[in-house]
Amino acid sequence: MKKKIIAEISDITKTFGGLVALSNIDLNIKGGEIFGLIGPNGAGKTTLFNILTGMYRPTKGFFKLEDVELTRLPPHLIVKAGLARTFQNIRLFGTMTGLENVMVGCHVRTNIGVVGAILRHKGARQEEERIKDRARSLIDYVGLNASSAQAASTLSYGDQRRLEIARALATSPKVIALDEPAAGMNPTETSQLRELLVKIREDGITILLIEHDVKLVMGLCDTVAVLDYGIKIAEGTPSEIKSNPEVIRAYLGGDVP
Amino acid sequence: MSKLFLMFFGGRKNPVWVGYVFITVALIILPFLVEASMGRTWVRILDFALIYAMLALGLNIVVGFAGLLDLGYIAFYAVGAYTWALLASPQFGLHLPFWAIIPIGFVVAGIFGVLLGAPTLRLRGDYLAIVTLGFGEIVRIFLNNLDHPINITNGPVGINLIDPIQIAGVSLTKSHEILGLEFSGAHSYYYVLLFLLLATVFVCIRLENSRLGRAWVAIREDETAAQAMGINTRNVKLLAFAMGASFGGIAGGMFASFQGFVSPESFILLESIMVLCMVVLGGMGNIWGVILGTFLLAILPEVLRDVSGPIQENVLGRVWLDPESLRMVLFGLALILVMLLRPSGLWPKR
Ligand SMILES: Nc1ncnc2c1ncn2[C@@H]1O[C@H](COP(=O)(O)OP(=O)(O)OP(=O)(O)O)[C@@H](O)[C@H]1O
Ligand SMILES: [Mg+2]
Repeated sequence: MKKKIIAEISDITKTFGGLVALSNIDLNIKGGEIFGLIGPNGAGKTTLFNILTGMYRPTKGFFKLEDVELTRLPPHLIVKAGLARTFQNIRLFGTMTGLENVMVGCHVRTNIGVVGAILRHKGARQEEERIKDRARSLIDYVGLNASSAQAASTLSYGDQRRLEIARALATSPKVIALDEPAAGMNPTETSQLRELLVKIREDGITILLIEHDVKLVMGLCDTVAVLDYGIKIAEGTPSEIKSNPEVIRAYLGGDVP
Repeated sequence: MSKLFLMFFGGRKNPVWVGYVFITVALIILPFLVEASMGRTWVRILDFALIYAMLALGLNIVVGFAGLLDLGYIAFYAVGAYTWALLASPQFGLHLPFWAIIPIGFVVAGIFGVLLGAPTLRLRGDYLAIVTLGFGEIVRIFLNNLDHPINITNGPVGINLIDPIQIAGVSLTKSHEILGLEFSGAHSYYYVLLFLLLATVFVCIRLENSRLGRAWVAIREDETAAQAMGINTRNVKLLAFAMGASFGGIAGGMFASFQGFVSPESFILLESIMVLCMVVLGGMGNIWGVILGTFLLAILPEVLRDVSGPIQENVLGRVWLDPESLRMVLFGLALILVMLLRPSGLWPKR
């Protein structure tokens, strides 16, 4: 393997009362790849994201990003360290415009405080300009120019998903974790999304992708891991996964296309 | 006439400053117009409206921007008022000048904001409201009881003979004649309060359109998502509590010096709710809406008090409903109507 491992997930276990949502998950994600995470409903995919991003504490195990351990850090420090995410059930800042949503994403890489905000000295004005410029270019990057001045809650479903990606990119992540970005998208939107993900990978950002659209995952990902009832049942290239009997059984005996 | 109106407001050729000059002149002569048309009590009512506006703008940072429902906000008003009262009255024999007390009150109230905010950081919604309500009451009960073992606050009696603002040895509560115009205490305070209110508005606008203002709104909209965007929600929320409390503290100090007297009775729960009503009625999160809400709630009840008696006498022959209780009934009715018809306030943000 030429590519270096950027994120190391080791022995992550999470129980909710008696329910074992994840058990002893090991994943190694290489820099610059699109890593797909699939599995039936309730397999524990979102739970893993919540642990990586600091929303849940793991019962056991650790997670490292570029050899820095991030397990049990609060969410904002994990973002600062370079892991950003989107949500399965879209969580935008509804009354803010699209542009403002992305500007919030710039928060973690900027630092003007109360005094700067009130006095608006040169440094503060320049930083604010930088934030605006970056937000505009990210809006452009995900192709949302037409609707960036609208309140986020009024955008179409597909646009909201792309806006969430732009907002996450604004935190300048090394790894971006996308939780079902194609959910609820029509075929045109899905193919636009695919192009966007390829572009993000080309720009050197590693993508961790949860997705139910198997065609999208198989066509796009460099590596795929399959979870079932909190257990990793397979990991490999898309073609290996497709022919893995365990995987086929997990998907209710159905064929993986 | 319409031409004149156009010149001020509509004419595209006119620079914006014409409008500003007009507004400035109007604000400067306002107390004299009010006194001439309605009497001096109304200048005092106007002054209290300005104090309330400052208070409401402070609460708007906490509730309107950051979405933290604080039902004990009046505590910071109390802290500001007592800070002034203790530092400039015969109580301890201290008589600090106003330019020292205003910043002290700002900081002390801000510290209280952080102290009372810190334990509530994990609470959301209703739970936050209940705990802050409790804190507000605790502060008032302390003020009520800190007359023993050592007498600090004078207990329920309150503190009297508080120094007014003095500029170059001249007390602002006395009447002065300048250029043939009589400036009563209410007039002089009007200008001080107007200045402080404008400063508050300025700071609020700057904060709103900044990295921090956006972080506050993000927390209001979705705290989890805000964390996931790298916002240190703990610090940013504490900052909202501190900033809101500080403005409440300044308003409280002005209240103490203007009245010359404070007692715990002025800081009951109903006052917290009143200020919250001003914010909600006007339009949470919108600075101009909050000011509108404040003026409506500070002034309309007084108007009602003035007119409801005479109207009843003229129309019904005698006063059937005591103006004071009628005032509260109509007040409640108006709030219900507004919430039904314009749930996001009279002048909402967007
Ligand atoms: N906060 C929680 N408390 C209790 N149980 C939870 C919690 N979060 C998740 N679970 C449980 O953990 C299991 C895994 O859920 P998770 O949301 O991670 O699944 P998923 O793979 O993302 O499924 P989907 O494809 O439907 O999104 C489920 O059984 C779920 O009910
Ligand atoms: Mg999920």
